[in-house]
Amino acid sequence: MQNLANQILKQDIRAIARSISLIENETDISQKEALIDTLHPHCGNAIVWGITGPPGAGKSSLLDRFIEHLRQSNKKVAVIAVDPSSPFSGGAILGDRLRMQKHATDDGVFIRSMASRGHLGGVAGATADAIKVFDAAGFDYVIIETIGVGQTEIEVMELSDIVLLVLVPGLGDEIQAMKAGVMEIGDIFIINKKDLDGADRLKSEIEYVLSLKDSMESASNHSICMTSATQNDGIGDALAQIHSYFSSLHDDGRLAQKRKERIEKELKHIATTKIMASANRFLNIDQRLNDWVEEVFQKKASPYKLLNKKIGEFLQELNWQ
Amino acid sequence: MDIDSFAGRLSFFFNAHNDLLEEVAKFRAARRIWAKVMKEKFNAQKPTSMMLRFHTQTGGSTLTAQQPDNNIVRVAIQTLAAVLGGTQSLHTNSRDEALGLPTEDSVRIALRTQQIVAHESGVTNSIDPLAGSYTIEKLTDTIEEQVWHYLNKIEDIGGMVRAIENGYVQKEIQDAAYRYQQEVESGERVVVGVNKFTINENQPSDILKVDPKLRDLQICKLSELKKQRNNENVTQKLTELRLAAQDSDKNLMPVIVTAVKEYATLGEICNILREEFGEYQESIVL
Amino acid sequence: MTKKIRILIAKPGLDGHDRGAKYVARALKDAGYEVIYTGIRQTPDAIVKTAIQEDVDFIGLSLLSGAHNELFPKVVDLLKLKNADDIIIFGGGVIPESDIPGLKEKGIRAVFTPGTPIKDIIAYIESAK
Repeated sequence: MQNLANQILKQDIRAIARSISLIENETDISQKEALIDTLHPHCGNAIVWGITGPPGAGKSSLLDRFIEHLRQSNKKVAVIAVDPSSPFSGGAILGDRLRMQKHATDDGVFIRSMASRGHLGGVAGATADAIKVFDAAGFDYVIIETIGVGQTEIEVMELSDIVLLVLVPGLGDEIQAMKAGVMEIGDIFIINKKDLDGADRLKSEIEYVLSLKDSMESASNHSICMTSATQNDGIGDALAQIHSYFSSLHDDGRLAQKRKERIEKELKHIATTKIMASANRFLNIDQRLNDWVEEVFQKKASPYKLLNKKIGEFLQELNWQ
Repeated sequence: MDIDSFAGRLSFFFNAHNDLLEEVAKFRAARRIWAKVMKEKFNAQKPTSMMLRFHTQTGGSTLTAQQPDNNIVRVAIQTLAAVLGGTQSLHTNSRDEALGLPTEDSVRIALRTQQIVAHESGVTNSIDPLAGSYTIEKLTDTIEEQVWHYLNKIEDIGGMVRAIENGYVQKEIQDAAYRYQQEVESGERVVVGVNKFTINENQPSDILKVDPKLRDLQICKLSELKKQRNNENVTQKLTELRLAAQDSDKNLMPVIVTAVKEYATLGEICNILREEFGEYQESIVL
Repeated sequence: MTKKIRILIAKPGLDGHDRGAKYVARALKDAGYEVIYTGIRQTPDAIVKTAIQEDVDFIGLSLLSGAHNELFPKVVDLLKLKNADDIIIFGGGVIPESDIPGLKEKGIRAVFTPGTPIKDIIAYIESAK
C-alpha cells in the first residue's frame, strides 16, 4: 500500500487511476482505508470545485473551457464526472468526458468518470476519497461534475470548496425545482448560453431568489456570471469571479470552516457506515434474527430486554479496535 | 429577407430503407409538410418555394456482410422507393460496403441499378405514380401526422438547434436504432442471410484493399505542391479568409475560392476556420 | 462487493459511422458494465490515455473506414509503451475476414464483424475478464 501511495505522490497516472478503482470497487476495504490514511497528510492543497446544473445547461462544455484557461496558467486539473448507474442493470454510460476529450492527451489534465453505483456509502463516499487521491497527487484543481438533481448530487456537491451552479435560459420549470434544492448550495451562479433569449430575465430571477436567501443568512457574496461556452465568451470573467470568491473564503476563515464541516460529515459518514455494517453482521450471525422473531412472537422474550442483552454481548465480542 | 428569394434553392438529403411502401409514403409526407410549412408558416408565394427538392442515399445500415450479393436486391428496392417517392437525385450504395470500401465492379452494379430503374422500369413515366393507392395514402397521412407531432415537440424545445444541443434528436435516433437492433437480435425482425436463411459461407476474395503506399504518395504530392506554389499569395489569401471568418456578415465562399486558386490546401483552409470557429462537439445521449 | 467491469468504446480514425459503436455501448450498459464512450475521431494516443485514466478492463475499437490495420495496432503499441497492456483490446466494424489473423497477431484479442449478435460480445467479455 505504501508503494501505491508513493506512486500517487509521484503523480503516476496509472497508480492514480488504479487507486480510484480500489476506492470505487470496495473489494478491499482495509487496503482502501490504509491508502487514504497514508495520503491524508499530503492533502489540503487542491482547490475543489463542484459544478452542477440541469442536463443541457452546458456544464461539460463550460468545464472544457475552464480547463483550457486553467491550463494556460499551467495549473493541473483533475475532473471527476459523475453519471447515474442504471437501477436495472447496474451498468452505466459515462459520457461527460466526451466534451472535454480534447484534453485527453494533456498530461496536466486527468478526467475520471464515475458511475453513481448505489453501493453502501454512496457515490459521495467514493468521490470524497477520490478527491484526496488527486489532491495528494498534486493537482491544483479538482472539479466534480454532476447532473443537478437529487439528494446524492447535493451530497457530492458538499464535498467542494465552491459550488458552481450552471443554469440556462428557457428552463422555466426547472429553475423552480432548482430553487428548492440545488439553489441552496450554489456559491457562483453561471448563466450559460447567455446569447439566448431570456438570459437577462433568468439573471433577475436568480438575483431575486438570492436576495430572499441572503436576507435570512449573514452577508454572503454570491455572484452571477454570464457565459457562452460554445462562443468562448465570458469565461475569463467567470474564472476571475470564482478565484476572487475563493480568496474571500480563504481570507475570512470560511474556507477552513467549510473544510472542517466537511471533515465532520466525513467522520459521521464513516462512523455510520461502519456501525451499520456491524449492525448487519450482528443481526445475521447464524441467522439468529429469525430465532429472535420466533421468541418474541411466542412471547418467550420481550424485544428490549432481549436486544439490550444481545447487543451487550456483541459489543464485548466485537472488541472495537 | 423575402422567403421566395431563396427558398427555391434549398434542398434536402434523405435515406431510403427497405420497407418500400412506407418509404414512398415517407417522401410523399415530406413533400406535403414542406409545402405546408412554406405556404402557411413562411407565407411563400412562388410554387417553387413550396417544392421539396431532395437527394436520396440508400441506407448504409441495411447492408449485410453476410451473403453480400443480397445487398444488390436491397439497394434496388430502396432505389425504387426513392424514385417512386419523387427524389431528384440518388446515391446507390454498393453491395460490399459492409465488408470494405467498394470495388469497381460493385460500384458499377450500384450505378447500373439506378440506370435500370431510370430507363427500363418505366416508373419515371408518371409523376407520383402511387398516388391514390389506399395503402400509400393512409401511410402518408399517418407519417405526416407523426412528423407534425415531432415538429411541434421540437418547436416546444426551442427549435432544432436547441433540440440537437440537448440531445433530444440524437436520443430519438439512437432509441430507434437500438430498438431495431434488438428486434434483429431477438429474431422478431428478419434480416435475410443474417438471422434467417443463413448459410456457411466464405467472404468474397475480391474485397478492395487500399494500398497504404497511397498515403505516402499523397503526402509527397502535397509537400511538392507546397514547394511549388506561391506561398506569399497563399498566406495572404489565408489571412483574408481569417478576417472574413471574423466578420459575421462576410460570405466565405468567394474568399475560399480565391484561396483554392492559389493552391491553399483543404487542411490549411479548414485549420483557419477551426481556429476561428472552434470545432463542433457532438452531444451524445445514450 | 465485486469489481465492476469498465469498458472504453472508442472510435479511432476519421469515419463518422457511430451507429454500431453506440449500439454496442448501450447494449453493454444494459448488460451491467460501466461503459465510457469517447465519441468519433479519436487518436490512438487519446484513446490510450483515456483508457488509463478511466482504468478500464477492455477497450473496444470501432472503425469503418478501412484504416484498422494501421490504427488498431497503434493502440496496442501505445498501451505497451505505457505498461498498460493488461487492458484487453477488441475491435469491430467493417473489417474483412482476411485482415483478422493479422490483427490478432498484433494483439487485438477479438474482432467482431457486422451481424455479430451482442451476446457473442458479452460472452467474450465474460470469458476474458
